[in-house]
Order: sequence, then structure tokens, then C-alpha cells
Amino acid sequence: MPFDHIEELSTWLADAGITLFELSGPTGRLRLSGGADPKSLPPGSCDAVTDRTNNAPCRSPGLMVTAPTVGILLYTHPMHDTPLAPPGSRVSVGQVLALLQIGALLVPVSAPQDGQVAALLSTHGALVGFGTNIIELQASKELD
Amino acid sequence: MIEIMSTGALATVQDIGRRGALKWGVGVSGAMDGLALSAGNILLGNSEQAAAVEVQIFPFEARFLEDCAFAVTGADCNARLDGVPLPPWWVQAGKAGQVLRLGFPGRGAWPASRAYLCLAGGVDVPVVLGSRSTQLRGAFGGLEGRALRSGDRLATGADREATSSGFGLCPPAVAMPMRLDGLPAIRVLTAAEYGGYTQEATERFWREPWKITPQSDRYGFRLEGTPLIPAAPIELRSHGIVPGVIQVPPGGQPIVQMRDAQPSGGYPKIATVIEADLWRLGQAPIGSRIRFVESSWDEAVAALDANERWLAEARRLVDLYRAKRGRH
Repeated sequence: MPFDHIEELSTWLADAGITLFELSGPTGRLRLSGGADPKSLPPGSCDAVTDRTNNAPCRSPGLMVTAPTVGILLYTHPMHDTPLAPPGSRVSVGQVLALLQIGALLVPVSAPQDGQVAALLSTHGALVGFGTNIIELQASKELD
Repeated sequence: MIEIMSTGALATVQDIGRRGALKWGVGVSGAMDGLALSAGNILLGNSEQAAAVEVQIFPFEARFLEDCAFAVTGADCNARLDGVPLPPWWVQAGKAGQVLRLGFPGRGAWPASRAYLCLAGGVDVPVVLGSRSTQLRGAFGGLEGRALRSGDRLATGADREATSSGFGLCPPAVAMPMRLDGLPAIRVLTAAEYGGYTQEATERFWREPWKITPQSDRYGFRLEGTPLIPAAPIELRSHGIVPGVIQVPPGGQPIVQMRDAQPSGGYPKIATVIEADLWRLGQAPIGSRIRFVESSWDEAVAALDANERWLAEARRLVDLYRAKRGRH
């Protein structure tokens, strides 16, 4: 098994927020782990969105809902005309916000908690990878 | 186990059908949309033979008396579990006490009229003549040979896999659309008496839309259009017929035999809906219009293969997804 690309792989995995990667082949098995799960960061954490150019105050970034797998991103169900969770809509934990299509299979991108959809972060019909940011969710407690 | 809380008429237990019983004069019954039923069973990891509830009149409500995964396929009927909307063609875990409500089917991308509530393990009713399908005319099969009523309880088979939930399938109506001039297209083979109709009649048969009249049900769809008149009166002895056969009674308004069709009839047959498209017609709502498209024998067989390929691919992807999730 070639181990030439571990550094590159690690960078990609970190960029995508992947904390565990396992690859099995006929001659061996590669296991890369590390980094904290970004989803486990407190929702108020603002490292990612501090505007460094003008030192604007840190806006609460909300919660990034990410792609659980690779697939074609659908914000609207193939049988419907309206999005599953348009910006501004209130959603409850577990509700399906978007879909990833793999052939005939539709895998949900679900709300990790109650909240309001702040923004759709990708494009309907785009091929997205594991960990791609799909939706920004404002948690319920921050709305009032 | 689930309890039916409220249902309109004619919700029945159906599986893929009672094959091989025509020789005793027993019709095939089974789901009007066999692809939707099979897809629901695939989502749940059920056997192909598992039975489900076919819902034709909405709204429909059922309560889970125990934890049980379920799938809703067929018509997009705004399914809600304790008020939380579920996408169409979706499998989900139901918890004891939760209420599933199927609302009126939407007229969205795919206007359809029948929904399937599939349960992990399948609806457990006795197998009669090789099938669990309700045979309403003979009053056997399904639950006591009758349509479901409020208060009925349906048990599920023990043979169920670990609860899986929260994913779906893109329906074949989206993946394999068939339309002509904006209307659903149904492929048919010409039948024995086709040549007995005037050229004008056969041209109209292909060229004009046919409306599904309110006198359409699981037994047959009565269509409305310009009457089909034979060149000379056609008289036949009763002979065997199967679902899909398009008969033309003397009035000239065709009847398509559907799943609960009796196994014999004497009207002339102008054409036969190919088996692969019976689900498309079975979902056409009353009042909607369809078009007939001529198919060859080879095309009809290829269409059946295409359905099988869709199901095989769905089964492969669902099995992969369930296996992957099973590890976590």
C-alpha cells in the first residue's frame, strides 16, 4: 500500500472536518485520526468567522450542518417544487434539511438541533464531498 | 403492531399479488403500484413477498402500538409522524404511541393516487393461495378478506432487521418518466381484436387523451374519450383476461382491467397495457388524462427489465447504506 500521500490526505481530511479515516486494501490498512470534531465545538465559538480585516465584533456563526457523505446535494426533494428548509424557516431536531442523492438513494442532511435556517451554503445539484458545509443553522436559544 | 385510527374506504392489505391462481378462477390482486410496494420493502430490508397497506382514500391515520420501522411510498401524501413532515418515499423509525398521518396526495411533480404503508417485517396476515393480498370479491386474503376499518390492528412479521431509519429513494416516476404531450404515457400492445376496429377508431386510440372516469377502481379503469367503434359488431365467447387488458364494451368507452379484475370476460380487446406500466396507470388519479403509446413485444420485455434493474440498483444501494450505518 503506498503511503506517499498521507500528508496530503491529512490536510484534505482536516479541511473537510473528518476526524477518522480508514482505508483497507489487500496488503494493509491505513488509519488516520486526529483533531477535534468541529461539530463538537461550542456553538458560540467564533474562530472561523472573526473578521480579521477590520476587527469587526465576532458574530455568532451558528451551527454548520455538514454533508454526512458524498453525493449530489438537493435542497428540494425531486418530487417537490419548494425547498425542504428555506432560509428563515424554523426546524426541529432531526428534521430533514437537505438530501444527498447517490443514484436512487436519498440520504438526509438532518438538523442536529432545533433552530432557524440562517443560510444555504452550497448549490442545489452540486456534487459535494463528506463534510462540506450545507446549511448554517441558528440555534433556537439565540433567536430570542 | 399498528392500529388503524381513521381510514377512508378501500384501504387494504396487499402484497405483490396472488400469482398462479388464475387456473382456479382467482384473480391476481396485489398492489396497484407494485414498484412502490417493492421500494418500501427494499427500504425496510423486508422480503419481496412482504405485505403492506394500500391507501386509496385520504386522510389515513395509524398509531404505532410498539416500536416499528416503516416506509411510506407511492403517492406523495404529505406524511407526518407526530406532526413532523417526512419526505416522500422515506423509511423512518416509528415509536410506540406515535401517530402517522397520510394526507391528501399533492399534484406536484407526479400526480398519483395510492400510497403504501410498509412495515418492518411486513403486515402479518395469513397467506391464502400463496399471497397475503386482499381478494375483495372472494372475501379472503388480507385482513379477514375485507377493507381496513378504524380500530383494526395489524401485526408485523417477526422476520425483521435492525431498525433503520431516515433515508429514502428517488421514485421511479422521477427516474423513469414517461410522458407524451404533457400527459402520462402508458405503453400498450395491440390485442386480438385490434384489427376489427375502423382505422379512424384506432387512430383516435393513439392520438387522443383518455380520461380516467370516477367509475375506476382496483377492478378496472373506465376511460372516457371518443367512442371506439368496430368495423362490424364483434361477438366473443368469454375467455381468460389478465390485468392490463383493454376491453371495449358496445358503447365504445374502453375499460382497462386492473389488479382485482375477474379472470374472464367476453368484450373485444383492442390492446393490453404492458405489465411494466401497470403501476403508472394504477397511480393515475380519477379525472386525470393519459395517452396510450404503442409498444412492441421486445420493448415490453425490455421495459420490465428496466423496472427490475431499478429495483436491483435500489436494493444494492440501500443494502450498502444500511450496512455502512450498521457499523456505527
